[in-house]
Amino acid sequence: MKKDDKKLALLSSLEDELKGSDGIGEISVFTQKELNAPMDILRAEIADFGSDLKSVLGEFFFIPFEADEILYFSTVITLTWNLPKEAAADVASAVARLNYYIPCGCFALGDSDNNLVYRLCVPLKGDDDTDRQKQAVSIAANTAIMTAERFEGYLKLIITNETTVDEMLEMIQK
Amino acid sequence: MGLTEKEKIMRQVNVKSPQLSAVSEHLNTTSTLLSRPEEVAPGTLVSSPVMKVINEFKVDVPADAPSEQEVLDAHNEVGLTLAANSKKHPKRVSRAAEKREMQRKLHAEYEAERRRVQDENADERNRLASMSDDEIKQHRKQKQERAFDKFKEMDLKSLMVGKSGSTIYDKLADNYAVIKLVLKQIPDYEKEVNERLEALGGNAIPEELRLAAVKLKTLYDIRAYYEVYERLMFNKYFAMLPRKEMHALSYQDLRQRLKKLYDAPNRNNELIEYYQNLIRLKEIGLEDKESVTARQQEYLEEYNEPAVKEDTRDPKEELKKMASAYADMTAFFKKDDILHSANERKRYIAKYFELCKKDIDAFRSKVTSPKGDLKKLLDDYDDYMANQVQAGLPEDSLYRTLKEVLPEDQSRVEKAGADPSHITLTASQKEGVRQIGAWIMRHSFTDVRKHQSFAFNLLQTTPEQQILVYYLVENDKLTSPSAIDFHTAINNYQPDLESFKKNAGWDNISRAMRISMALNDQIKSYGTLLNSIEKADGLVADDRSANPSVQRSDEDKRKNIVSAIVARGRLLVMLYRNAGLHEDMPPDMVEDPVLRRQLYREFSEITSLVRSLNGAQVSADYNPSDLQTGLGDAEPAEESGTLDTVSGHLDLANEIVFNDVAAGGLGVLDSLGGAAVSVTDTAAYSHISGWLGGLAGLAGFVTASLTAAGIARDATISGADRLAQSLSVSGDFFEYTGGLLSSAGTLVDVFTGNIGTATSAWLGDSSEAFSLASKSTGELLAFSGGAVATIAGAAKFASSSVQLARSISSKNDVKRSKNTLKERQDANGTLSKDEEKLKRFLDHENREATRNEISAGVGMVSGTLAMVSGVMLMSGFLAPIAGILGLVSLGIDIFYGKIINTAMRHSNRKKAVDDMLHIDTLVDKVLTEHPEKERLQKMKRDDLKKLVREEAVSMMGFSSYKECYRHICTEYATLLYKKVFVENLTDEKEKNMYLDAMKSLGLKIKKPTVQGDEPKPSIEAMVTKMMTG
Repeated sequence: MKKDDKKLALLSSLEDELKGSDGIGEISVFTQKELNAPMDILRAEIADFGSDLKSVLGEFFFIPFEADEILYFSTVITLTWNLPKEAAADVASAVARLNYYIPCGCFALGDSDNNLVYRLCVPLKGDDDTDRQKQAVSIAANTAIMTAERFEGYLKLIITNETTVDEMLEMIQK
Repeated sequence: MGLTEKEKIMRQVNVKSPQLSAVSEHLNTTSTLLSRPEEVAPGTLVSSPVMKVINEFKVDVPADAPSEQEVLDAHNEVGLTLAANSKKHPKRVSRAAEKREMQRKLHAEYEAERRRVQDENADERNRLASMSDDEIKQHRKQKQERAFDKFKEMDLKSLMVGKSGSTIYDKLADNYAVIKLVLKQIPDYEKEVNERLEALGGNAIPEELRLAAVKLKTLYDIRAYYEVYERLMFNKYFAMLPRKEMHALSYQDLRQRLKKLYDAPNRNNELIEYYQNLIRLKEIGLEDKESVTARQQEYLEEYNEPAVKEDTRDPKEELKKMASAYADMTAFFKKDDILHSANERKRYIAKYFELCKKDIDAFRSKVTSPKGDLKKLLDDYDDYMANQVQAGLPEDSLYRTLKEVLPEDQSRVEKAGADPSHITLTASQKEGVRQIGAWIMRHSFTDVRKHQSFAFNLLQTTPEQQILVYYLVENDKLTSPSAIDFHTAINNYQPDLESFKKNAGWDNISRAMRISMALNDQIKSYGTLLNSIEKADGLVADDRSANPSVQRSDEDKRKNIVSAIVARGRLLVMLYRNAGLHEDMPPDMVEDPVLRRQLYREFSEITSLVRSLNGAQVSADYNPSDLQTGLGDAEPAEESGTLDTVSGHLDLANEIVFNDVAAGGLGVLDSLGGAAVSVTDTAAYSHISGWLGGLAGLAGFVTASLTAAGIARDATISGADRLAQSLSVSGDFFEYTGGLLSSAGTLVDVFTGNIGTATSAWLGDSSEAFSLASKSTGELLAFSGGAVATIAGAAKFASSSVQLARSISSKNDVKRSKNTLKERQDANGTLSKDEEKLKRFLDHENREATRNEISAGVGMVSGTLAMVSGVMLMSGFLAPIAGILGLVSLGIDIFYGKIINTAMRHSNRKKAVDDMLHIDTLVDKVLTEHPEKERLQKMKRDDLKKLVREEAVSMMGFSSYKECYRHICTEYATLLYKKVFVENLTDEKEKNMYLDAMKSLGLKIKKPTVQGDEPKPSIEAMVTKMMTG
């Protein structure tokens, strides 16, 4: 099986797993061709997300490296596309502090400064048994969703100016 | 009521009703809305009462520059903290001195203008004295035409300042006489415009005249702008305070400040006036030349026929969508494993056809030979239309039963009943509601995540509830809804599907639905009030008509009038409450212009009714120009109270208020006790400085009107006493108000999705209500006390899924809180609803876990664990990792080979909701009482549970169990917020009990010390904490 086909198969299996489950809305694999991108991406509407129960975009893909000994399975969840300008500095600072505490993955401000994402990247053994790879992909995707959801609230409080960064740290450390 | 009336006003040919100018708006709108419009000649409302008031009002400008201390004091009074050693400090003191100098200069202009006008008027009178009546008429007409010719050439922009350069102060001070002259001649322009408009008959309005009319409307606004600004500039605080900061205050903020000032034992009337004028400037909305141009454009557009929005939908596309949704629908209803009985399924289809009828009928001709899904849709539709039986299908008994066994403290979606609501929507509003409804129903079947039951429940509510839901969603009012929203939704909102779609997530619709449910009582009582006014008006109109079918005694006629007054008084109380106004505030403090007009109209109507009660005669041959000699002429005042104009009414209103005051508080005022002082104070104060020519605030106005109407004038009217009493403070008036307040309280509970200020705005408004009326407190808590089980669910979630980060100290918080609770139970033998609720929460907090010492070396991990998992998971090193993922805490054993999945993601929430619903009881009920129970008994219990859960939360107005869960958290956070920040609990122990419970959430608690600060944590922060940890 060609490397890209294998990746696509893994994404499709993740799609099958997630589809129809509680809290997942629209979901579909977008191919390289459709996206005009170097890789295929599984996109999902993660519904009822976080404290506000809003829908967010989850994207699952393999980072397109040439070497195939290790596959890098990535999840990127876009928490918001409209980060208020005036909140950006506080959020950046909060993200930096929060990342110290979260167990895996990281929050980050996107390249345009007004999107806030959560990202988790997990390396898989390239020639591993397919079932084990599927399992690893599933664990990683679900871990990413749940971790992002668990910590998103802190950042939301910063964005809405309910809490200062210092107060957030107090909340964490208490 | 409703949009039609608004449309009528906007389409008027006569120059009236500038949209935003408070004064002119008041005069013109009310005049057109008087019950006897035929008696009000166009253009009669020319005398600006403000001019008269300003004339009477003594403006004192102190001779000295303000002292440092005065400036500091003024800053402190408005919450601008300015340290004595601040760099800004000397600057502000010297600036205050400059502004005081400006005030004096302006005052000199003002005095000079006064004298000039007096002289002019004297000259004019001399000139007129020697003329015959015809000559006078001719003279006036010539004057009017000359003024009008100049007016046509005038560039209104020249009256305003530009974006940069001179200030409004310079403009006014440098051009005082010119500006005043232009504004003074408004009556002439107006009369000329209206005469020319009338002369046209029904003919089209020539462009030139149209422009003049638009210009005139704009000039009204400019007049209001200068009147307000001038008043503002004479105010003490104008000199003392920095302009920029004060003008930047939001409407919300100002209103809250005013509320506090009005409530103070010694009112600072000058500061009140200052704030009120800041609000008025916002309402007028003019700033500079550009805004004048824009305003003219707006008015010009109003003159054009409103464009009928074209239906741009593609008929074929629409039919396709309808057919495809119908296919999904029928496929869904073929299933065996759904809760809906055969009867219910028919009701859904009937609803769908009812919503789509208009479109199907309009579009079907565009498709010649329908095939597939479309054919099926059309065939079934024809079949349905031919039989029509489904339309009247009753709700299945199962659904009624289910609804009955839902937790009793949770509100349920109410179906539209057979009784008319007395609130009418316009045809285009109804069409908007239909289109959105059809869209919602379609999507509830076609979306990936289905919401059939929720949508169906929503679509069965009254149209006015639906329009409120759509309004809240479309205008994104979900985070800061207020009781006033439904007035705006009903009176001033055209639902638009395209713009609705942009915000129309199921989460938003669900939250709007819950808000609308909380407001439903308000909507209903509003309808009832409209109905009682209509009835009372009908009787009064009967009595007035020359040929009454029923002969009534004078006493009965008077009784009818008093009833009409009382009904309106109640409506006013409701509108005031919903707008968050203090009873003594003038009505132009309402932000929504449509509501403002409604208030003016009711004020004016009451005055008119009081007048007819007193038998005042309408002077038919009144000539408006007699009144318009303008600034400085005191004579017209003598005519006050004899004119059938709004200004006449206002004068009468003042008379009423004043007679009462002068007589030493006779009648109702006597029964006010301590409150009388402030009521009369206000009335008097409004008369002197009131910007609407002394229109008193609500309380003074209604009370005084009733005094004049009933008790003071004619104590023999049987029934009038009782009615008057019913509006008086001691009687029904406040009881009624109390009812409204408790609804406002309910809002607080429901709107916890609120972020920041909006929540506290309500809380701020209602805080007195909590401590004042025990009744409303009781009701409020009954609502939020929403079921012990509710909180049990929340608590279970909160503790067992370890969302609450807690240290040893918060453990102590829980313990302390628990102890207090136990003492209270021992002492009283029982717990209140709130305490019960708290107990459930704390029970789950009472875990005996010991915290291991954590070395600094694992700070990161321990921080993470404390944050995410609480302390009890520290026993093993692997446990925390699981804890982070929320698995251990969910009570789901992880053993080798089991993979986490999304089913676990929200399982804790599901469980909390199930607890609240008593899901097993519900499922049992379904299994024994469902009309098709045999079918359902074959299902797996868990699958059935899912269906029942969905159905149950839909009946409560939630689109999903998660929305329901969020609401539970919200209720709990609201309880804590109220107990800690809003209610003034006198029992220290009780107070600490709630405080400790709040502390256990691990959020920092901060009570505000400075005005304008919000208490922390906000409800939103607590909800977030409970939702995410």
